[in-house]
Amino acid sequence: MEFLLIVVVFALVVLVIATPLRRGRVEQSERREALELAELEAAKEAKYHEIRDAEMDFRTGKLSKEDHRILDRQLRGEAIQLLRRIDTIKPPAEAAAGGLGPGGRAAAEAAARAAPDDDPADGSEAPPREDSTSATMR
Amino acid sequence: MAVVGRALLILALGVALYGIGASVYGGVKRRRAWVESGRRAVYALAGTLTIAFAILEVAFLRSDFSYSLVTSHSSTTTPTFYKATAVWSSQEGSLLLWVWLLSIWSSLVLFLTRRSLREIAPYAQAVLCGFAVFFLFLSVFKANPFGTLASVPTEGQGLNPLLRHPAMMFHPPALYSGYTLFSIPFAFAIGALIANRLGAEWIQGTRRFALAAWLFLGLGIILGARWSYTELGWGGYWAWDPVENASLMPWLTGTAFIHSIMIQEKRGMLKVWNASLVLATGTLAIMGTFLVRSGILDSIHAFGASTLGVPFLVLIGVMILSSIGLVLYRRESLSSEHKLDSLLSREAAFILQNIILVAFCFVIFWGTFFPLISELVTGTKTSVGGPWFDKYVVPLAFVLVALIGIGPLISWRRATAANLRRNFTFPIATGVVTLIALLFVSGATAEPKALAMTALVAFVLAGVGQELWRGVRARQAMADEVAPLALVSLVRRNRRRYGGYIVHAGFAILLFGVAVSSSFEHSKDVAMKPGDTAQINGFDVRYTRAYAEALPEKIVFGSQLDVSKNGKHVTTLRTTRGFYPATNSTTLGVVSRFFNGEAESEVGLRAGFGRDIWTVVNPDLLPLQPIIDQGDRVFGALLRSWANGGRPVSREQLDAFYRQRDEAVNGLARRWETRPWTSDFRLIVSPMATWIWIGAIITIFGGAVALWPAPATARRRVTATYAARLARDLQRS
Repeated sequence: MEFLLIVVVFALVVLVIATPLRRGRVEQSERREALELAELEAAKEAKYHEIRDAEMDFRTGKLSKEDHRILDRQLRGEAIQLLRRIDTIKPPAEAAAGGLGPGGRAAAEAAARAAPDDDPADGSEAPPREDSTSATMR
Repeated sequence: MAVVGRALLILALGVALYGIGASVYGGVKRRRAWVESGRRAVYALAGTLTIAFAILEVAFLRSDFSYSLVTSHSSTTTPTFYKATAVWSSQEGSLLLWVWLLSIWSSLVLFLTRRSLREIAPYAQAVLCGFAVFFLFLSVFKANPFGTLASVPTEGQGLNPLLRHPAMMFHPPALYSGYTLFSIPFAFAIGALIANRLGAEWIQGTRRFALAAWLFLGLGIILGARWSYTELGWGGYWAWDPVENASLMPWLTGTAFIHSIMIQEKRGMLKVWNASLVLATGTLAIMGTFLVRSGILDSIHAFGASTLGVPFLVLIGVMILSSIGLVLYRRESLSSEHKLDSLLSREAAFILQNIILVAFCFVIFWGTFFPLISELVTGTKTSVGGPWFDKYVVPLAFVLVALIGIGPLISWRRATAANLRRNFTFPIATGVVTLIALLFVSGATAEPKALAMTALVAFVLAGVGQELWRGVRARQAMADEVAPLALVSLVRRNRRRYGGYIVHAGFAILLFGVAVSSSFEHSKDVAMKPGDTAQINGFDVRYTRAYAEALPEKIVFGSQLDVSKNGKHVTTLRTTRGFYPATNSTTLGVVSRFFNGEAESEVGLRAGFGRDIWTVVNPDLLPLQPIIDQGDRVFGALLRSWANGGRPVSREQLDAFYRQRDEAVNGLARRWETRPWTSDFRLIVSPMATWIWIGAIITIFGGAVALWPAPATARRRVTATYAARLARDLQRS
């Protein structure tokens, strides 16, 4: 009984670890572009987070209107640069999604993802903000 | 099933070795199938070790004394709850727990990151499997948890009484989860350095796991402190014990990492520092495990002397050398992308906080290892005590609390004078008002450090409160929600930010409890017999009665005390000292063995928001000794007569013998009730001590909020029209 149990576990272990090798999967070397894309996507997420943080800092009074305007513009510029680089790597059809063209799609995504966390989650248009300098909510 | 358990450990060792080979081969040759196979090896490792751990757990629950580990760490009289926890009360069992948790957490992380970190993951997998190989090697060849006995005893030696505390169910697993989870950012950092992928991806991929490690380690530390406060009978929660220190060091560097990683995430700065910090944290986590297991330093928490020290030293040496080598090798890739814009910025506050935390860690490291250092230099082992640690730690703690308050208030990049005025006026005013109020109202000027800490904590809480208030107001302006709902929405949608703020508030409250309770604590050792009264800090403590219980597994001597103030009853405290029989002695007498085994205390505690009243009894057994000796002589003579008589002893005779022995032991216990004698008590009145635990709970809650994944609804979606309009605006800007 004990021996049988050991054999069963051993067989299961072999099955689990050998499956990827057994599948005869096409051995693909990692595309350099895919790896670069992952890095850029991570940088993009970090940039979005930074934009949202700056927005929150502005709303809670840690940034003045003028400082926020400058910082926000700079961060969005950096985000758009990242999106343009992502678009050059991604397949053209995907990059052109949304009918805005590569640049427009990138910018739209930057705007949408960087929108503050309290944007309506149901997709409805957000109400206009008191502060007209914020590109996020304008 | 012991054979199956051991076979599974050997199988797991083989799987872990395969995992290293497959992952490295797949990484170097860029073959996805091999990398995936290596990742699945970690899953298989988790499955195999889960079965092995379950086999050992079942053996404990069934009191299967064919396992030597069960015999030496459990008994039939051990309560089921503690039978379950007894698995990790031994060196062997806790090593298995360590590697099992490592495999579980590694599997979870590798599953969650299976579609990202493609270049880093193979090497991270190899490192994680490397840790597993190390611990499995120890389990298979040096500390086998599945060892069996040729002759199976009918009873075990029982669990160490000091470990019979509810916190012991969760303290070791939480602590080991912290240690093993810190191995994961370490592994990914090594992977990122080897693959030279030192951008945002690995930071983003591992940040959450570093936070989880920090959370679990913090939980483990606080549970250990609670155990110390309520079980060890000395009245404190932190003794600067080497093993306590060993757990605090990675927590401190981990705290520094969680903060400085944000600077890298936002600004591309501090890459060398972050890589070094996470590598140091991983190494310190292993060093903590080494201290518990090697017996190299004396500690109540350690497993005692063992032969595991050398392998651990080798592992730590390899970790340090490879970390330094890799950081030096990749120093160009680790150069900063930006410079610090201003000293008046959150970045600067975080950097200063990092320096303080690392200095904190260094002080603890030096104090912990000073006995070894002094032995190396002078040949004599010299320890440093609490006052030495306090001398350095207290000033650092003051700066740290100030920075805890400053961090949430100051903006990133650059803070202007107007911003500083707007954000700091209320918190500073609150701190100053608190200080003045305490100076003039409480009159507690004898402890300036406690007063200063209280004022700083008020500053921190006011700052966090102000942040929450402003956030709620902004949220209300946006979404037209009532304040409580706005607060929940705000925290839910900005978990990292507000979770962090909650942690800051909780930790400040914890330090407030530490500062006030240690500064204004009143402690007194008194000898009393029933009817006597002692005074402490305005309280009258009257010893009202003694009581005893003779339980199957221990004899309990208890004392009941009534506490009153100005004639008004405050509380009734009950404290006991339990004596467990010696199980492995052949020289002790029939009766005396009941009083010469392990002993444990149950403290009498009245916890309150204002103060804790704490007591523990330590009965002196000397008055019982003549009667115990007499019992030993009588029963010893009977046993000798049986041995010399040459006739077999009947069942009835044996039953009568045990019955009389139990009556004698019960009589001794009753004597404590009927003719009680003077006993020693420690009485402590500790103001605000409860706030330590409240602060810890808030801290852990805040950490959990920050760690919890964002809800799906928080993923921002916008209509195409809206996005297009914003896009046009952005393109123009």
